[in-house]
Amino acid sequence: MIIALLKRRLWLWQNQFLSLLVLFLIFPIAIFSLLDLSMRNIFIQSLGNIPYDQWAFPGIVAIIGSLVIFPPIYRDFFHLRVHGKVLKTVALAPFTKRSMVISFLGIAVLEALIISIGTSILFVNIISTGFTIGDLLILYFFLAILFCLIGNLFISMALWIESATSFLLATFLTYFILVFGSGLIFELNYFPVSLEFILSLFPFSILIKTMHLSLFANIFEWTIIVPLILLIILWSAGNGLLLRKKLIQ
Amino acid sequence: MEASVTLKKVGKLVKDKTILAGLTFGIEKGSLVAIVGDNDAGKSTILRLLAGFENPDYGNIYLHGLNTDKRRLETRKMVGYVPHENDLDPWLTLGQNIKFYGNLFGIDSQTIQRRLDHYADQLDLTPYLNELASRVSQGIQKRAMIIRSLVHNPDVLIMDEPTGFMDASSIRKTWDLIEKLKGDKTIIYVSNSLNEVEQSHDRILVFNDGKIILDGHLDKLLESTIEYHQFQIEFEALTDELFNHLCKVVTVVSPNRLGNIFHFYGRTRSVFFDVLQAASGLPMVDLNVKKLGLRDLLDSEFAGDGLA
Repeated sequence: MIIALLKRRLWLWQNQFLSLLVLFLIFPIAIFSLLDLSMRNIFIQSLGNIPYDQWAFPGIVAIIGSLVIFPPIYRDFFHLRVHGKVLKTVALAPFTKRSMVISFLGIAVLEALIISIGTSILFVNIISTGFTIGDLLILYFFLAILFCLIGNLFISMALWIESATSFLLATFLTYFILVFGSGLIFELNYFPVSLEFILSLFPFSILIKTMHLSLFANIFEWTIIVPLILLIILWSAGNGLLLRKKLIQ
Repeated sequence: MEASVTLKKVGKLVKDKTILAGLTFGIEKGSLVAIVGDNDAGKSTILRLLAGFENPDYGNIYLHGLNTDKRRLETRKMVGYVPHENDLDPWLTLGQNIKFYGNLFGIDSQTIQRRLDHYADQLDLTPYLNELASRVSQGIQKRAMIIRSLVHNPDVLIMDEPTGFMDASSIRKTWDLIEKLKGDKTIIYVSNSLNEVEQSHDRILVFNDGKIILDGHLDKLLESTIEYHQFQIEFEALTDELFNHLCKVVTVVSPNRLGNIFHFYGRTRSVFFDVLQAASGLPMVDLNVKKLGLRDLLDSEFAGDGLA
């Protein structure tokens, strides 16, 4: 199934190549200009004395990838389910709903990773990140986990919610929490203690803190990474059940 | 003959309403079965259940002897489904939509292309294959949906309004293709176009309120349920006395009048001469004899008591 979905994704790119190319060129530059260029004048360096450009670089790439993962999931699990009924016909193919969810998620994560890799290579050349190829590989590993988590969240929302307004509002809220409340562009320590405690319990925050530890202190918290991977597997299975319930198949 | 599709006490409920009520029937391999009935009779629902598009609330469906619930992945490969609404991916071309479906079923690219070319040629779709689905008419989309349902070479083809939105030429080509596929594939379809159903079927299932009320070939159904011929004689003046006199002709069934028109049914054409004889030379304006069809069958059946 994943091959069929990959080919379809390539066709969709091919059919709207110019508009997508322009968007994906403007996209990283806009995010970088609006977030990094302003924040670097406020924060200058992180609480651990790492230059802001370097500290925020993984977060900026993560935000761009997280935004890229949304359109394919919205398209397949919400728009083409609620309005087009395409998903129901695709679900007639001889695959379990769980493998359907994993395949759709896999393709969306792959697309987000490709854009993230492109963006990171672009940023490494225009700002002084001090990241080696090894660091970048570690970053991509964490990004893959982050995209799987966000992707699963969007799939759950897309299957659960029936109205476009509610779905888009929930999506904005998710991005708001992700960008400002998970430690991607500034540390959670800047929040009041009680709010910091609540925000630090979110899986996104746990993962991003672990990513920063790995990238800037060379500490791999496998005891955190493994449960997060298990969470992704369980969440995907749950989404499979939800999809089955929604499609009544 | 070997059964291709078997339903055992299949039912479907929507909230408290019964959409299908414990249906049990079988469909022979290679046959062309039409399902007709009023709106909301459960026609499309039965197709969706057969295609695996939805699950029944109770009962079992078997395709080639395999339970569609327990052997889901195997039975899905056997079915091609054309839904009533257009459900192509609007941002893919017609060709890409069809190829995508073939890829989903694990068919190799060469086979997909061969089948696509073959069926596109038969349905005159080749000039539109590179057009985005959102930019072509609904009739063209429907033809693409038919090819999409055939690209994995299913044994059972299930179609909801196969010629919906199509122009006359496309309708003819679609029925030509369906007639060619018959025998090799079991074809079950729903249509509101009764003329098309009369022309193309081995068997008709008439649905009403989620139940099958008639089942068989049209000729057999007409023979067993209502009379064969419908007559109309327009008199210059159809008096009550004349009407009552004509009603007494023993071979006349369901006599009726509309102004000066005497309307009745008869099992044979000779009934007409019995009436002429009874009218004994009274001036007539117009005569009309018609062999009854599916429309009359449904009208008589849904009228409640039928004709007799």
